[in-house]
Amino acid sequence: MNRDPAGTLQETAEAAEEAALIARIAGGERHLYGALVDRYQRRLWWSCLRMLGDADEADEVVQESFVRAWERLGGFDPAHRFYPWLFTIARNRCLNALRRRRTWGFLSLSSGDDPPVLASREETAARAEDAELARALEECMEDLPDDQREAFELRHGEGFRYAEIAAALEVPEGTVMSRLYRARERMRDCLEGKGVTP
Amino acid sequence: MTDGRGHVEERLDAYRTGDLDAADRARVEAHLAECEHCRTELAAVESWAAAFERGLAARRAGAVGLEPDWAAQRAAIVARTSAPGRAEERRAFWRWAPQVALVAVAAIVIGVVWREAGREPVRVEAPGESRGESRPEAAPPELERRRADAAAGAPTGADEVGRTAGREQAEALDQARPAAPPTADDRRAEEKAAEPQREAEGFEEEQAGNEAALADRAAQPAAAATVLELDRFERQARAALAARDTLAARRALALWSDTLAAGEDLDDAGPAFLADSLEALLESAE
Repeated sequence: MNRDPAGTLQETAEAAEEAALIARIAGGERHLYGALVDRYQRRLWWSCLRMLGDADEADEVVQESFVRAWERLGGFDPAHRFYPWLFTIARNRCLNALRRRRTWGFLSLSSGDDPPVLASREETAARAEDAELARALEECMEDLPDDQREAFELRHGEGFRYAEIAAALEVPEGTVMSRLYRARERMRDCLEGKGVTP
Repeated sequence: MTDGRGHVEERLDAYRTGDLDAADRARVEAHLAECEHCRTELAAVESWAAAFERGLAARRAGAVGLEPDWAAQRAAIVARTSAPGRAEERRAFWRWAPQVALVAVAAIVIGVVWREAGREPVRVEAPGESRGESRPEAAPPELERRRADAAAGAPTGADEVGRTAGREQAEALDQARPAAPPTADDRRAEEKAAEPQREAEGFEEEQAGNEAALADRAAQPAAAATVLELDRFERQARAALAARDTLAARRALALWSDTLAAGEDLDDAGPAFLADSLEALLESAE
C-alpha cells in the first residue's frame, strides 16, 4: 500500500520540471516567474486565509511572500519542492501579522447562516456528500489543538511530505508523526460521532 | 517506532506514502507481516486519509466566493518582481558583501602601515607628563576617548553592543570629514622649518594625525563591520535556536536588530527574512 509508483514517477517528473523552471528564473529569465505564481497563488492564498481569516490580508501576504521568495530565489535548494519553501515564507508572515493583531484568525466555513462551503443547486449527489463531509470535517478540526490542526492541514490538505511539514513547522519529523497520529485519531472519533464514515 | 503494545500505528500513514526511511519501512513491513491488527489499521488509515483529502478539497472549493481577483494579484506580483531594482541590488549587495568587507579591511591595513612607515613613531604621552607646564593640555587620543565614552555613557549589557558600535562609527565619520590628516612629507617639512617650536606645535600635529587616522579607520569600514556583525549575530542566533536556548537567541536577535537599525543601507531582505523567521520561532517556543 505504499505510494503508487506511477504517482511517484509523476511527482518526480513535476519536481524536475519545476527545478528546471526555477533554475531558468534564477538565471535571469524573470518573465517566467509568473508561471510559478499561476501555479501556487490560489493554494497559498487559501492557506493564508485559513490562518488569518481575512481575505484581503491573505491577498497581501500572498503578494509579499511571492516577492520575498523572488528575492531569495538564489538561495533556494532545487533538491526540494518549491511550494513548501514558499509556504514557510508565507507562514512566517502570517504569524507576524497575527502577532501584530494578537488574535488568531482561524476561518471557519462551517459557521454562519449561509456558509460558503455550500455548493450550487446543480451539484451532483457526490458533491453534496463531499460538502457534508467538509462541513463535518471543519467542525471537528476546530476542536483540534493548533499544532495538530496545522500539521493535519499540511498533510491532508496541502499534500506535504513529512519532511516538508517538519521543515515548515521547524520541529523534528518524529514530532510531526506524533501530532498527525493524535490528530487523525481525534478526527476519526469526532467524525464517527457525527455519523461520517470513510 | 511502536506504541506500548508493540504496534506501529503511528508509522502507518508515513509508511503508506513512502515517507519512512529504509530501516523504518523494513521494520514496519516485518511487523505488518505478523500483526492482523496493524494490517486492518493500515487499511483504515488509507480510507480515512482519502476522506480527509476529499473533505478538505471540498472545503477549499467552497471558499470560491471569498477569492481575490487572481489576475490582479498575479499582475501585482509580476510587476514587483519584473523590474530590476531594489531586489537585485539587495541580492548583489549580499553576494559581494564579504568580499567587499575583506578588500576594505585589507586596504585600510595597507594604508595605515604605509602611513606609519613614512613618518617617525608617534609618541603619545599623558598631559603634563614630560612636556612642561606651558604646553596646553591635550585631549586624550580618539580611541581612548571613545573607550571612555563607551565605559561611562553607554548602557551596559550585550544588548547595547550593536547600537554603540553604530553610534561610534557615525561619530568617527563626522569627525573624520572636516580635517584631512597631514601627510608625512608635510610633517617632515614643518619639523625642519620650525625646529624651535617643535615641542609645542609638533605634538599637536601628531595628535591631530592620530585622531584623524583613527577616525578614518573607524569610518571607512563601517558598512563592512556591520555586515560582519550581522553575520556573527545570525550565527549566534541559529546556534542558540539549535540548542533550544531561547534567551540567547532572543539576545542575538536584539543585537541583530540594533545593528540593522544602525546601518540603514543594510535593511536587506535576507536578515529581515531570517529575523521574521526567528521571531516566529521564538514566539512559538514560548
